[in-house]
Amino acid sequence: MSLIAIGFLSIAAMLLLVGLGIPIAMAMAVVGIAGLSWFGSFDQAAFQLTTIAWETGTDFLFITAPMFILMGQLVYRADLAGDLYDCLQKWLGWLPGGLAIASVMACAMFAAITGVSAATVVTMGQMAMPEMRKRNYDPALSTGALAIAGTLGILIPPSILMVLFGIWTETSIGDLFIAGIVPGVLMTLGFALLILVRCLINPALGPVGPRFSWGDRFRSLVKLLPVFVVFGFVMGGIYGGVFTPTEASGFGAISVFLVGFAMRRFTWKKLGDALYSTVRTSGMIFLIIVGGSLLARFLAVTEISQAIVDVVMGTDRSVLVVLISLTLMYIVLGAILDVFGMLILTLPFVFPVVISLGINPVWFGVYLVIVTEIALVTPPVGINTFVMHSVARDVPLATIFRGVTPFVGVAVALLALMIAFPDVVLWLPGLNQ
Amino acid sequence: MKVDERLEARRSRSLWQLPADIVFGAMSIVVTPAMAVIVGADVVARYVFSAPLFWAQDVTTLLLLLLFFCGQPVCLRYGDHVRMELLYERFSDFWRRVIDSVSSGLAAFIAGTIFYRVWKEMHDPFAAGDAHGFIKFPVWPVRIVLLIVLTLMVIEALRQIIAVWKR
Repeated sequence: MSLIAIGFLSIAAMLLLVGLGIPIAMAMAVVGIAGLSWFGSFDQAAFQLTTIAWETGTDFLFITAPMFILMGQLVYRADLAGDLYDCLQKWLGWLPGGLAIASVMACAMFAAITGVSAATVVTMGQMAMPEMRKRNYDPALSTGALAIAGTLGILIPPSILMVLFGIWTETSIGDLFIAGIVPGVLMTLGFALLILVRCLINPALGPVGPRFSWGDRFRSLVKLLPVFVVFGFVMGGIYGGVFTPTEASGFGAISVFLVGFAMRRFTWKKLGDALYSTVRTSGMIFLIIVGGSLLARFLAVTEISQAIVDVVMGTDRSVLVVLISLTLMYIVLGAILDVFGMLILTLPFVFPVVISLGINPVWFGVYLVIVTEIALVTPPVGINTFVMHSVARDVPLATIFRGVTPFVGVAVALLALMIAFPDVVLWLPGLNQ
Repeated sequence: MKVDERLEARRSRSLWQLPADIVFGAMSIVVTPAMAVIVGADVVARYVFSAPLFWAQDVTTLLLLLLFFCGQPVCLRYGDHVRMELLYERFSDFWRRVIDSVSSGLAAFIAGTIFYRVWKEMHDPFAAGDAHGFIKFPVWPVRIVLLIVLTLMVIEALRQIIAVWKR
């Protein structure tokens, strides 16, 4: 049997295990162990597995993941979501669709700092939905806005998904973070603009709310200021080349803790929960990385990645066709897989193709994150849509999917803009060099 | 019964849940903030006092290794590992038990494989005196901790297999 045939059989075996419901990390690790044992010996496979686990576990760069997770957990448990929503509705509530715009902005900021997409939808949904119901907002508009805005956290830095992509593909995490800023801001503004225009055309969708005095508006900013100063310091430090992403993550986690402590927002239970959640999420990511790395080493022996690259390059497809195909593939995969699983399962094959086509890895990282965002709200699964439904039980799922659709259009338009003008993504990291 | 409910039921039957949660909870409460404090302190020492902590990187990477490994039995216990449930949720209860047992068995196999290798290295004369990083921290205590965690992971996986067929 040829090497490539063994490679394809191994992928088929892994997909079968994943399809049956075996955890993805384990499916990849076991296929990797079996494959490397086949080519060498069990001893060699065990050596490779242990080496990968040790190297990953002692990689200084990898500290970024648990530290940003901890930072997000601390912000999440410091009950800043209420302050954020209160502040933004005072600033934006007077606009047509103002509460929905405030919800989008609050979700974007909260999700960006915490990096938790689904939890953002739950937290913000519980606060924003009663307010929007009270003002007779259209259910499709309000739930759609909340469901899609929760996804912005994986695009706007610091993003755990970008950390993972950077480590996996050896792309600069700092550059990825910086590259995510412009598309993240554009997408947030795009969502807000869409709500505004729709509510200007049809005011019944999102009636105008009361105006607050400038004094009230500025007073509402005070509670948020410390955390945003920390956030600005962390991102500014990375962008200015003062901190490495790893240093910024540790500094950010400690600073958020000190701010929350000074604001008396933590209890022992909240701190314990934040730490325990950090350990669980980090442990999950670690095994995915180890399993994926082992599988990648085995597949490198079979030369299958190169074969796939040769096939794609041999068909003389344009970059645009490949990108459209990848977009469709990821949206389909996103309907059945978690974002981390989707990334690790596909990158060993997709990334070499992308690099062979001359696509910038930083650009591709941002592109991949946006496609993942779309997958998070697309039927039939669209996890954020289901999470939104759990918060607003009275709004049918079909209504939420309908509400999300125009926002998906904005995301697709941004993708098109990025393809037409790659500098939308690459301009900011380029300035840094 | 939904997946979450089953996991909850499985957890509630655990006989050693309390000690394990205390052990790993304590480790997470010590290891994670220790990492944050050391990285944060190094930033301040490096950029404010121009005197970086030379040991910071080596110690934090060892703590990271402990954090990742300590997380494994906990992830296993709470079913945190990412899986595709599209087909799984449509299987009969019997087949779900089979899949759950295979998953736990694979987890035990993976942990056992790493255990085997780390154990072997403990007895490898060429690995004797291995040290980590610039500070030359001896590796053997870390290996012992890993062996303990991996043993707990195997026990947890086997316990889950028994629990699956008792539910």
